Amino acid sequence: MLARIALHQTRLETPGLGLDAKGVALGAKGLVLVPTLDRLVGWLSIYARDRSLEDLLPSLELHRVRTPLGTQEITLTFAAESSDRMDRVADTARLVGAYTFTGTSRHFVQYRDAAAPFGYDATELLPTEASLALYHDRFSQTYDEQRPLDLRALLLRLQPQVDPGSLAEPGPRVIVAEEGLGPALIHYLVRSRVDGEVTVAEWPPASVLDDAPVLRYVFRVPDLPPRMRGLVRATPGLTCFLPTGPGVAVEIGYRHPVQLRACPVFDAAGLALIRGRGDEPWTLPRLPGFGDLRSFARVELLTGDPGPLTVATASRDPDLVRVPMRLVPTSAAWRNVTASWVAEDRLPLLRRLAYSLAPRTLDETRIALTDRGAFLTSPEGIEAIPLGTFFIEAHPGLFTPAGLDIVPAVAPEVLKRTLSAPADHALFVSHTGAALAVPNEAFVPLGTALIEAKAWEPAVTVAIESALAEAPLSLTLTAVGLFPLAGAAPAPGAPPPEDGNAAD
Amino acid sequence: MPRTDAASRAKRLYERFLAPLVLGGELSPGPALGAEAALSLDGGLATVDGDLRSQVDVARVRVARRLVPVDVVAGPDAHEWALGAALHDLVHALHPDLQGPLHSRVPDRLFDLCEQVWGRVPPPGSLAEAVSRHAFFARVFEIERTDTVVSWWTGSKRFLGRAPPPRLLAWPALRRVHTDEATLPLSEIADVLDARRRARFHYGLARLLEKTPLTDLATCTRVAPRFEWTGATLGLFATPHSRALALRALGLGPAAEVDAALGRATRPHAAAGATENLRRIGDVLAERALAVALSDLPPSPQDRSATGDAHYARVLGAALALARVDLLGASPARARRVTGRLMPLAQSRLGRELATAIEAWGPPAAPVGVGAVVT
Repeated sequence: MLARIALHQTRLETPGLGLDAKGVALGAKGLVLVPTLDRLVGWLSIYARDRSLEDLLPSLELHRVRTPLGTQEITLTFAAESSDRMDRVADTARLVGAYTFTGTSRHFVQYRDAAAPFGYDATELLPTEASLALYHDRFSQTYDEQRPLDLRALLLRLQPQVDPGSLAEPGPRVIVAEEGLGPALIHYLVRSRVDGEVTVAEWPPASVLDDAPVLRYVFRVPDLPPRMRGLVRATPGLTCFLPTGPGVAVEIGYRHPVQLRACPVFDAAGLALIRGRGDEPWTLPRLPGFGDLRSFARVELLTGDPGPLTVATASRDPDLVRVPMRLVPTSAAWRNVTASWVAEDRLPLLRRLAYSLAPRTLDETRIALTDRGAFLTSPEGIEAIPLGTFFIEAHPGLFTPAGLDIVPAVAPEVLKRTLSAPADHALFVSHTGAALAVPNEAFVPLGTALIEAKAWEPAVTVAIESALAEAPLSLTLTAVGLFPLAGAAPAPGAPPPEDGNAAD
Repeated sequence: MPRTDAASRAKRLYERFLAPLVLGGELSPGPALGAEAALSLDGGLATVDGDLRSQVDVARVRVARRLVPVDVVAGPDAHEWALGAALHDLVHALHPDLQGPLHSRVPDRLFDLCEQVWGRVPPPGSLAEAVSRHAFFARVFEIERTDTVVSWWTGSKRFLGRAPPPRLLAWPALRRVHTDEATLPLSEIADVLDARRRARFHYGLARLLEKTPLTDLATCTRVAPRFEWTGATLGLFATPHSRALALRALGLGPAAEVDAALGRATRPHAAAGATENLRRIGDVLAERALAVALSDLPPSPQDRSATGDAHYARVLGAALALARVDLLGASPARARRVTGRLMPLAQSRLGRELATAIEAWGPPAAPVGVGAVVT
């Protein structure tokens, strides 16, 4: 029933089947017959791994089909367009055990494979009223279309797989907080100076017993500090999501089986939040407007009658109001402890400690050696080296002692500006109030600073030409003396000199 | 002569003259040794520093391996001691202080003493001896002398083969000291002698080269004394092994200059009709022509830079080599290529003239083997 198409064959029996420029039999559509849903997911996962589905989506249709015997399978049809596209689709289908066909309306023949480089033609068509007739070298089968499948709904129904690797992935986060936790999280983020946006979204009641919609706070945080990642993941009532494409995010700790970035089926104006543990996804067809986090910071009003507004009548030299900076102990929790100062007498201890430091600590920590001791910085936190005085990075390039607050409580940027430190210097304010500026270029990786290089000596290389070169023969003359022939006797038996005198 | 005296002379000769002659550096000849001492230095090597002996031995092996793959070259025997001592006295005769009226007879006396040594040293009796002698005297024509002229604001002075004293070079800016150095090769050093003595000096060198024929062939491009075919050099081409070494020694020099030297040395034999010598010389030239034709170098039949003597040697070699192409055992294509390379020279006007002369020489010398230069 199925015949291989020969080279230069032009006449084809299957209606709607033609030859493209390469001579490959191609209809207007391509069709992939998938026996089960998990193989369809496998096809989507493999195909979307290296390329986007964007070019297929406009013509992509998923249907559940049924054979006359009642077996159900899934078809995936799309515009064939070219044999290159069909080759990619067929390669992926072969990988998951699916079959690839091509045709135009009802009759689809097997797409080309290694046995038939130019494809196949059905020499005898099935007389059927079914919506699909597929011709394969192993079978010929008719199918009736049952119902279409929605790809977006299918992707949302797929359970994400556990993936601890996504916990450390950098990038923006979407945090959903239950109604009661939202304000506390807002203030925590504001207090921690974390930039972000927040909105309140409504979901339908969870059960018929509830009559009010469910309110949740949705946060968009472009750069969540690493120290907070564990908090937002482990706190009940908070769910953290990692955006995986326009309009879709997957819960942290899980990975969707299909590369969602390659499946642009989600509306960028809405939001689909795919949750793990088998929970239903949260979807928002339209995102409400977001507001800056700082707009939600707690505000307090002065109590009592503020009275008439006092207006300054004159300004004076600010020097007159300047007060010395002081450091006072504080009970606030330490945060952003990213630097430490190790006094000179403790440096031997640091050297001993170096043998037990983890490679990551050695790699991330930078050290500057000064006449006042060593300054260590690590953007991920300096607690891994439990030595010296800890400093908090109050402002980029400005470090204040941990556990101490600076009074007057001016803004850190104001403090740095007041101290007039150069931009390429890190400023350390000690517990006595003295400030020390360390050039940024003085900081080197701790690993390179710790290793004590072994003494070495250069090996002298000798060029082969010079080794084989011959020194010139230089005739050097010395004084001949008064009797140059003294001791120069003739050979035995030789006649004596004419003057009979050997010596001149 | 007391034994201790001979030992000290041998030590001095080796360390100040023979070792630098091999290794390079400063040669300090003098005082004169004489023929009696020259012939009695055998065994003097025991007094020489062992480290210096090792260096000299290594350098001699390096010289010898340019001709033959040997790992050991024997130390100086009695004949080499004698030749080295005679060469020492010969070079010492060039001392400028010996040219003045006070020592006017000394150079001639030294030449006489050298002649007594030449007469008592036979040519090398074996290839090993020839190689050993060449390993000692290969660089004899590389001897040079640096003369320095120091001029200052009130005068100047010339120092021949000596470094000027530091006092003359002091305060160079204030005294406007200017130093000119000139390096003279051996042929120009001999210009200090008058014409008769210069001829005797070159004759002495030629006698030395008779005793070391490989050196004679390896330095055939020298200025003076000019290369001439001698019994010793022609004898080297009598056996296959010595012939291979001799052809390699000829191959050490620039090809064009070697051809010129061979051509110049061959013409007198051709003019005199010395057929026996010509057959042997023709064998050498034919071998060289075949080696060039067999090489993969691009053919250069129109070598316009070649002198008349070089052209003569090449044409003669090509004319003789044509008859030997069949003996190569090469493939027909290769034989045709070799013939094609030889033909332009052999069929030139000089080639046709020489072909007539070659017929008069009689049957050519039996070729010992082709390719000795290459192998």
